[in-house]
Amino acid sequence: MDSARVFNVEGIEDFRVALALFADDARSALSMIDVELRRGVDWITHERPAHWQHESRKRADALNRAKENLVRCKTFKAMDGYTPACTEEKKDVEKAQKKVREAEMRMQATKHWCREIAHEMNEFEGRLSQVTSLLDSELPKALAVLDKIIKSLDSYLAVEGPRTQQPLTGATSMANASNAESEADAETSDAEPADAEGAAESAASSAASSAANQQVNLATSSDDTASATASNTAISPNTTS
Amino acid sequence: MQIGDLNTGGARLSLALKTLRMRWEECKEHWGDRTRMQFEENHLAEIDPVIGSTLEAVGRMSEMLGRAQRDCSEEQGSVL
Repeated sequence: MDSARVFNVEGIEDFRVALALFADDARSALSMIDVELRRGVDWITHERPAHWQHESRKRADALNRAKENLVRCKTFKAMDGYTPACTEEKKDVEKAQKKVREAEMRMQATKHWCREIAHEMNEFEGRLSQVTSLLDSELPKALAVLDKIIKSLDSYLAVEGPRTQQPLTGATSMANASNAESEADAETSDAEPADAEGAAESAASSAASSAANQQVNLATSSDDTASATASNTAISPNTTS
Repeated sequence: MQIGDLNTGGARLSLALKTLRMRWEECKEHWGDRTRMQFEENHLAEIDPVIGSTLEAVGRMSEMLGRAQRDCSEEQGSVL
């Protein structure tokens, strides 16, 4: 026989609260990640290409102006009969050329990262959909199972008396049945015979015999298929593990 | 400042998982039967790997955004 070992129902209730909080926190964290990710991706795929296109044009214009200044310098100074150095103008042209090259490189880099980010986003969204499924589907199921377990234990304690630090041995069948219920593969056979036996022993040996015949409805909703089976399971409050 | 700060959300998710683990360990002190093990196996076992792989993906994406920011910015930095 499986023996229940629940020392403190509040411990399970606390975890139920913690699980719900985890779901909220995880959703909130994912929302933050999503907002920031969109901001980052938008910056790379929209803001940056526009920025570098604008910069490329601006720098190309600056280069043209620098080249015109150089030509003007050479023409103007050549009138005096010597070949002018036009050092400053040449430096300006070199500087402008460097800036144009840099803009081209940044533009190429932006295109590269647009492709890389798009690829990584596919994988990332796959991961996010797994978490979303976990939070939206699996965790609510887990919370519902915990609710049933807690409800079952509370029902048992309502029969047994105040909560105690002793293990709630009779609760095994309830908890197991609740779990099996949620998994849609109820296995009540392992709980029923032993509990029935325990109930009989209790009924014969203690003043709690009336409680031993108490039936506990494990189902929290009327449409639960396993509720009929579970509600026919007698619990044995004084059975030791 | 990084454009697209994923680390704050990632840290929050990581902390949420760490807290849940702690609460489960505490709960196990009060609940030690087969039902608990089944519950853990059926409903909790998936959380760790799914969140863990998500955090890895967040880390990779964050690093990628950081490199992209450096390469696509005005400031000096590597260009690929």
